Amino acid sequence: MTRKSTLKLTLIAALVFLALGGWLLHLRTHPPLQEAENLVPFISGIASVVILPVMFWFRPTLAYAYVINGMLVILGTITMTHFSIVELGTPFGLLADIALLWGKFAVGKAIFDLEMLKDDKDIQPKGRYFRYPNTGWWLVHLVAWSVVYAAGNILWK
Amino acid sequence: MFRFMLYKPGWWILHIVAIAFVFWLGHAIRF
Repeated sequence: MTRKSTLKLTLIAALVFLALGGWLLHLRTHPPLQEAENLVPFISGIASVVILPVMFWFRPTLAYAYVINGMLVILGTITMTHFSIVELGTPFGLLADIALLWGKFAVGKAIFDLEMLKDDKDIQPKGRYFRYPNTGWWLVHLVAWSVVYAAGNILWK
Repeated sequence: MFRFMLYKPGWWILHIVAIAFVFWLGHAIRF
């Protein structure tokens, strides 16, 4: 086993622990059998704990894992902010939980970037901030998700 | 800037389905 694969395994373990922690927290506060909404974190959690680590490990599914992981983070951010606005009266009520979720995003990005690395002197390419797979691309998706989700919530009663 | 206009059909299908799903999600989730 190379040091790169050991590092990758450690990062995947970090992802599993973060996802498992979030999933168990949801199980306690929002039991999935009580309300249909609670199925969203229940299913996302199972995907993050069981399916995503395997997809991150194998090269052919790596890019899909990277995208699904980030999209689940965006989904969690938007739904938790929505929940916070409705139930707690402020969009920042669940900031701690959202911060933890973005930790999961960072770990997923680290696994992806590690696998894209050619050698340790590989320089980060400049420009194309808003293009896949760079951070700006995620920013665009976060904003677009928010707009479409809010439109669905407000316009479609 | 608007190179995405030239994207493949798969890209458009994915995005139409994704936007419809997120729009429905906003409708369906009521806290």
